[in-house]
Amino acid sequence: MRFSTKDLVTIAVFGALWGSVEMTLGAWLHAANVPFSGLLLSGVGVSIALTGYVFVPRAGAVLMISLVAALLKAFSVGGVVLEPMIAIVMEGLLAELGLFAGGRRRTVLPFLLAGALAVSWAFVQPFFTQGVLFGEGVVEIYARTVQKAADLLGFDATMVVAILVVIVLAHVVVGLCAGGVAIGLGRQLTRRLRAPASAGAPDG
Amino acid sequence: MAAAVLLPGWRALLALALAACLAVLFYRAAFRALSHPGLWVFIAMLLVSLTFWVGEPTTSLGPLPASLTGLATGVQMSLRAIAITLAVRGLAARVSPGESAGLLERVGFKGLGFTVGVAFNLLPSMERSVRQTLDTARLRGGHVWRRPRLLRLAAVTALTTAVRRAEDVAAAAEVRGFSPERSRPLPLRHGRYDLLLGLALAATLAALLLT
Repeated sequence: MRFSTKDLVTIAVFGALWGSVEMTLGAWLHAANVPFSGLLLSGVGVSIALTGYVFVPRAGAVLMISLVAALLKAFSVGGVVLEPMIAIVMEGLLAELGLFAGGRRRTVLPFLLAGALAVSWAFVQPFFTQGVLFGEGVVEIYARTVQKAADLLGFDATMVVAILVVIVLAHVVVGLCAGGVAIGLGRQLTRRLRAPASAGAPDG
Repeated sequence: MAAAVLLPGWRALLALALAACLAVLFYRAAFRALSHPGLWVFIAMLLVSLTFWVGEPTTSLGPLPASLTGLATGVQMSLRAIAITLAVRGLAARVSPGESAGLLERVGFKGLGFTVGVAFNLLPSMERSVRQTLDTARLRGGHVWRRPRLLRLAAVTALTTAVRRAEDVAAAAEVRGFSPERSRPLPLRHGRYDLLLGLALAATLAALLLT
């Protein structure tokens, strides 16, 4: 991975943005135990990272943005930072995979693919973390618990599968939206950056 | 951590003992992870479900059929989880983000240390810029949280300012002679006993696995 100084600084900007969202909104959502907070944070974070890719369209740029965001997350005031750090890096990796699979073109398809893949990690993350911590037996326990609960409540176990499929689909849809937002935002930003500096917002 | 992953059954207790010894000696902050209620709630749920729900009943506790095998499996899994939690939190507590960046630079992420430094220094100005953008929108009669279009415009404005600032920072770094090709990775701290400790841990792990 070779980047120019300008690439590195642009990566820093988008990494700082994702990191600050994780440090502020993420800490608050996790502290308040808001359901599906991981999904919301993934959506926002991945759209920021993919917007960054519009400006640094090179292999590894999204992964670098995610690494910067993860390292900034280490400074978060929230107590638990390791799991979100793992999630951020995995989302970066999956977004890279999506961009690679989409041919790394600056068209809509690679962005949508990258967004869907990356945000889907928010669904896998709890199973992954618990699998690492408790061993692969935890998956079997989940499967048997679901089967027993279905038997006890008298409904078909396939309904549980259907609920899981709906949740996965919700993640994919949020991911597609993240990809769409990123490409739209990137194009809008490019137009704004071509305009003279005085036409923008007040400089901070 | 390797011991916790590799040692099966009740030998997870040995992994926990090793992790606890290392935490006492080198990173006591890791014990703070054990005060997190989420870990204990999950362990309690695991033990209850394996004993009374998922495991095959072998005995009864009062009116409830219970599985001692399930309970044993749950305890072993919990020991393993606590050992891994201590090891990982210890690593996170002792290795700073700067050192992590230095390590990552050495495995191919060239320029990551510089990038993290720039990102960290950009945070206050970006926060100021976002606040000014939101204030400007409010003064012009819009409330971004009530009007999605304004939120999008505010985001575009904040990002435009950030990218323009990036161009200035990159130019300043190049003027000062910075180049990603010539930059050296962040230095890592080396202790006198690092190698010795590494060898001792590897020998302990090998002994635990082979005995």
